[in-house]
Amino acid sequence: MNTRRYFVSKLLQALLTLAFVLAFNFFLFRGIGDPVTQLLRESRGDLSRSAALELERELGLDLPLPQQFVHYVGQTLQGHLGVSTFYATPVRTVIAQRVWATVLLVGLSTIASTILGIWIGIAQGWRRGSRFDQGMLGFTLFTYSMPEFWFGLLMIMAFSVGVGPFPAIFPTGGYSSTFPVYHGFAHVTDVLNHMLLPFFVLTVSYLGEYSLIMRSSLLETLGEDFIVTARAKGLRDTAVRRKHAVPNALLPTMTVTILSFGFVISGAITIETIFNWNGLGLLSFTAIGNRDFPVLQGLFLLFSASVIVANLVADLLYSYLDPRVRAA
Amino acid sequence: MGMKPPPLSTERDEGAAVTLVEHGPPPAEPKEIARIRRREARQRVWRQYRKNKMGMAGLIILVFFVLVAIFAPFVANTCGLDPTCPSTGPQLAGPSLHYPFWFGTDDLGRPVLTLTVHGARISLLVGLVSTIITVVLGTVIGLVAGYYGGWRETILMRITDWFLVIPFLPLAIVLAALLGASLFSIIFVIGVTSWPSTARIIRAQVLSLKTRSYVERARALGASDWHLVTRHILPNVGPLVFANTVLIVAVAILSESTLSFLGLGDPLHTSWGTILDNAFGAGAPFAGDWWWVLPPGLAIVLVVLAFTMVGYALDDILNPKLRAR
Amino acid sequence: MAQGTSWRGIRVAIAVAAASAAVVSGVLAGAAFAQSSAPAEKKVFIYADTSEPSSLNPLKGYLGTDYTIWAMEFNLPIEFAAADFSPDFEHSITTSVDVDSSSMAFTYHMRPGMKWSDGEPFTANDVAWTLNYYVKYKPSNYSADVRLIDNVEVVDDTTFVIHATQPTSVYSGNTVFMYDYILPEHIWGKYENDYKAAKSDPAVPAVGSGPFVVQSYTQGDSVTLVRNPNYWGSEIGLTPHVDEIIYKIYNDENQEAAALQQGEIDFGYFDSANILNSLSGKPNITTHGAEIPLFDELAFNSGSAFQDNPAGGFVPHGTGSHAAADPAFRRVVREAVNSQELVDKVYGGYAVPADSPVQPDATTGNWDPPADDALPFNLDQAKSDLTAAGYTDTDGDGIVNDPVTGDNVMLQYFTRTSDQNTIKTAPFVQNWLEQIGIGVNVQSVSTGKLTSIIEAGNYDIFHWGWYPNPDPNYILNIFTCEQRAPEAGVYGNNDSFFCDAEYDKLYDEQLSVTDPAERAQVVQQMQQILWDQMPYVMIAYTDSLEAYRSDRFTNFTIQPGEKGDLLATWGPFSFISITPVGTATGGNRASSGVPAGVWIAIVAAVLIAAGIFFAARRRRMDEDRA
Repeated sequence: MNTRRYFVSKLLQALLTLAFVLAFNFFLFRGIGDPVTQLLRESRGDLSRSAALELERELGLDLPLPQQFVHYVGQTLQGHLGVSTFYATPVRTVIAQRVWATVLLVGLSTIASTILGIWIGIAQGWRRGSRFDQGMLGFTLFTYSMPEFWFGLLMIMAFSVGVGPFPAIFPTGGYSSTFPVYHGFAHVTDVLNHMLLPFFVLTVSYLGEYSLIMRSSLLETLGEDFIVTARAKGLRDTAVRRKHAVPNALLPTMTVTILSFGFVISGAITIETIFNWNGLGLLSFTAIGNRDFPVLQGLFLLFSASVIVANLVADLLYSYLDPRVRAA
Repeated sequence: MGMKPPPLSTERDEGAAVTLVEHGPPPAEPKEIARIRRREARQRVWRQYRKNKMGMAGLIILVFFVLVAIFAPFVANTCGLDPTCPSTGPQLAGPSLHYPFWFGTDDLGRPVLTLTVHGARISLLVGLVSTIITVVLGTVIGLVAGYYGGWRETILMRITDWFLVIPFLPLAIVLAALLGASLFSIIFVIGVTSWPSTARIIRAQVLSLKTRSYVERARALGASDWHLVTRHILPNVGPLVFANTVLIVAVAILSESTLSFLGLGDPLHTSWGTILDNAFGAGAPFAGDWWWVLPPGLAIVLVVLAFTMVGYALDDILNPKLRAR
Repeated sequence: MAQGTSWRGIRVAIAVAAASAAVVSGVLAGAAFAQSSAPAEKKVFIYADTSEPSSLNPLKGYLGTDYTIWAMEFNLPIEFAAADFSPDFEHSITTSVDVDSSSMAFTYHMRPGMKWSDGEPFTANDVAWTLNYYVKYKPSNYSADVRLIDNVEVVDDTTFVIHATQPTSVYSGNTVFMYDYILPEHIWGKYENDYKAAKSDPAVPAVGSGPFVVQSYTQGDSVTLVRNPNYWGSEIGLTPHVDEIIYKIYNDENQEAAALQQGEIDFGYFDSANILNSLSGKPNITTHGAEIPLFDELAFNSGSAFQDNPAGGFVPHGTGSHAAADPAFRRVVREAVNSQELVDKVYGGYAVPADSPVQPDATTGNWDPPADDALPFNLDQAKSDLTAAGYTDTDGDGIVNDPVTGDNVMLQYFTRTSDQNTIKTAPFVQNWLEQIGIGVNVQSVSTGKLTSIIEAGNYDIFHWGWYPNPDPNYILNIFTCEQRAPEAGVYGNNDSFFCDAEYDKLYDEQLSVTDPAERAQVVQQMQQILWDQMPYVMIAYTDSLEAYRSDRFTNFTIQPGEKGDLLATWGPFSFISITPVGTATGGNRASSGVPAGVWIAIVAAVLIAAGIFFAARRRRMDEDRA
């Protein structure tokens, strides 16, 4: 298969997946139930029955299901994600307001944890069995086994509330101070100050996955014939590692990394929840409580699309770096 | 992040390859011989496993928690789960030396020790049962796709890929909200959202097994699909499935705690996740009630860690692909 | 893959990037320090809760959060007095009401010279337009209040007349019946013939007549209100002491409480007694359990699901048990539920045991159960009353049998997953009822799921609550026959399916009697019927939990009375009276100096950069030696 055909076939697969997501999306949320009745009951009578019927018509819930589906697909293809039932604002706006917070927090944490994780993984794999390797293995397995929200709660208790001997040095959640409103550089430091604790929690939680992958991938590479050959040629250890082992071992790790960037945008639901971080993860959780299914549909589409794109990028990059893949 | 546990290579002995089933031409008493060989293989695996420090540490932790779960009513009186129980203590008391108040009490005066001990039952149950669903679904789909190939494979693997791009946690949350808060729904949600990676692994393995000479020979001799799958493919995929299963339990227990913490668990059945959810909702983090937050969280970490360590150790012994340098 | 690689190059690049990041953040921190030390002059009050507004549009929103914000922005025809919810003509846009002898026409005299926040005059035209608009489109928030209005007529700029469809006392000004916000006609008039468009107006920024108006709303984060420069109240001494009010939305109470402790906010509403208790021990923080109209109840499927509605139009449905439909049985449950213990253990003491759905501080018709029929908690008495009502354990399995069906009495009891108190209450109630031989099967479901279960009539008991208006009309209305869900899948306010012809007759009577004292009597009779029939076993009037920074603000106006809400959310009075303590301004909120987080980030960045740099160097040396 030549490069262009490979590219086109991957692209078509991605589009097909997107089409599936679109259909899945629609039917999943029709299954959640009637958001109107929910509103009625939660308002404890402040919303009248006639108002409810009106709302139903506004949402197009009175149309037959196939018609609703055609309407939904048509609108989505034109870039209209609908209007939030809870905020009465276009879904696009609702999402756009929060996407930055998530990309900033989860994106930076992913970058930091990949760099640190890969670095630790290489050091471990190279000096396998050393005290550093064993200590780090214990540490990364521990962080990998830890529910991130639990770790977050402990960090909040220690450094945001100041339980026991710990100092309450971090602001308590949210993206920035409520008042005064900072501008320019001061705004950047303000956000940085708010972000540090959740950033730390996420980085530590994600770290383990990358270092474990990097470590095992390096170990696998070290067993390959070309490494043996390189050693036989009399190359020094550092040269073998730097020129042969690490670059080859990085390949699978990079794939995982690119894929995890696809998941950045779906946020870190529990961490955004406990840190009051107004991003897409928190939005998707509150939208379920509000039965706001236009928002949920929009989010799912966005989340899936970003994973699909990341997949595509990983595939193409992999095939570029390792031409054997294209032949398969 | 994704649902697939990262790979890991651990300490191993030299030349640790173990083959569970050996394949030559069918001997005179094939069933008998196969049974003996399998028993021997199991013993070999155990001998190797015993030498794996990490695996043994994980196993000991696991045995401890399983025993605690099984004998929960004897470890901590079940009555302590009921706020009307006469043996409850003062509300939100810190840890003390008096059994069962070693870990203090929650906001209804229930001992956190009792909650954590009984929580082990629900957390382990959810982890195990949802893993069974995952593994059965994933194995069947992977097997069918890999063994038959053709249009079945195309369709099944396409569906698998589709499920892999839908973010796990948001999907699980939506499904849990849709099904309502019950143990069954949380088991179902974890089970049906985490099979795709298993299906992929199994399929890859089946694809490589299918081309082995003994399978082709058996096919040439006129063996049925059923015979091929149950006698040749499954026994060889088995070890992989087993190691994978143990790792999935770890992920399932983590998922349970996350979903329960988000309030989607069954509030009438105490799991470690629901204890943390209650503590969070009752303001334990702000009030500094650390004894209510630490024990269930540590229990999750230890059990997940134990399953992960056992899984990696098994993976190492049963699926040797890595060579020590 | 290419074997020659630039891994070292990457490493150097990372080191350079990290080092420059450290330098840049140092510069930024310096800049922040310089800026945050400049004093902010605005006086800002920040209050917080965990509830997002459902809408800031007074035609659409329905949550308490929304009402609090509207209370600052708009005026009612007559305001609730802070002390007791009585009509407060002294601080209203209306100064007096004349009642026609027919009790069908009510002339309202308004304060002259009022203006909207944009400077336009605020006259009787605005009031008449708004009320007529509500009569025409019946917005759900207001339809019950304007139910008896035929039309509103403008006499002159300061006078309008409400014409009622029948004789009544409710518009006479002796009680605040119209909980209806008056909107500026020059803004909303364009929606005269398009109610749907009116409802989708976000109402941000708003033009209002209250002391503050909404300037901006960041979804999921905050609502900012600024002072109305043209507020009419300033003429009569209602001058606010702050320039800006921010409503900050938190997702979780732990964060909100920590923000109060750290001084990021000034005031917070809470649900968790545990949090309020630990706040009360912190310096500079005052806590308050406010007694406001808010109650929790155990509602029964009281059986009309099985009867035909005398008025017609109701099809019996549902699977509620026969026992729950028996008033005698329900009264036994009242005797078996220890409200005081629930208040102490579940509600953390922040509640008062309750008997009637009409709260003690309602504007009219306060009622207590007769002393000889008070049904106090007594399990022995409950057991013998249960036997007397015919429920005995005929098959000896420990659970009583229904005298009519002969089945074991097993009640299906529902709690809500979104409300911890309902979940915590269940084991107590279950335990008490099982002690007298009543079986209970507890299930916890989402709010939406319970809604459909109630509509379908497929329950025996559930635990929920209401937030009634100060006037009892609203809460009494939910027990009328016509409020029942007519079939599964259709909503009805009457969640106990209570239906009583006598009660319905009295309900209409309390609206039409012209003597206020007589209305109070009728309202009391209705509560007696509810007590005799017991569709709700009331648990408690629950407190609103509040805490504020006493080192920052003082002079709150409490409503109602001494024990009510500190922010007096039925009117703007507390937001007007709150006064910064000393020099407290918004500027004080900024912590002095560079925030700890920034320091730590800088130190970490420097350490990592140095580590990588040295590691790279060492390797280069290794190589040189090679």
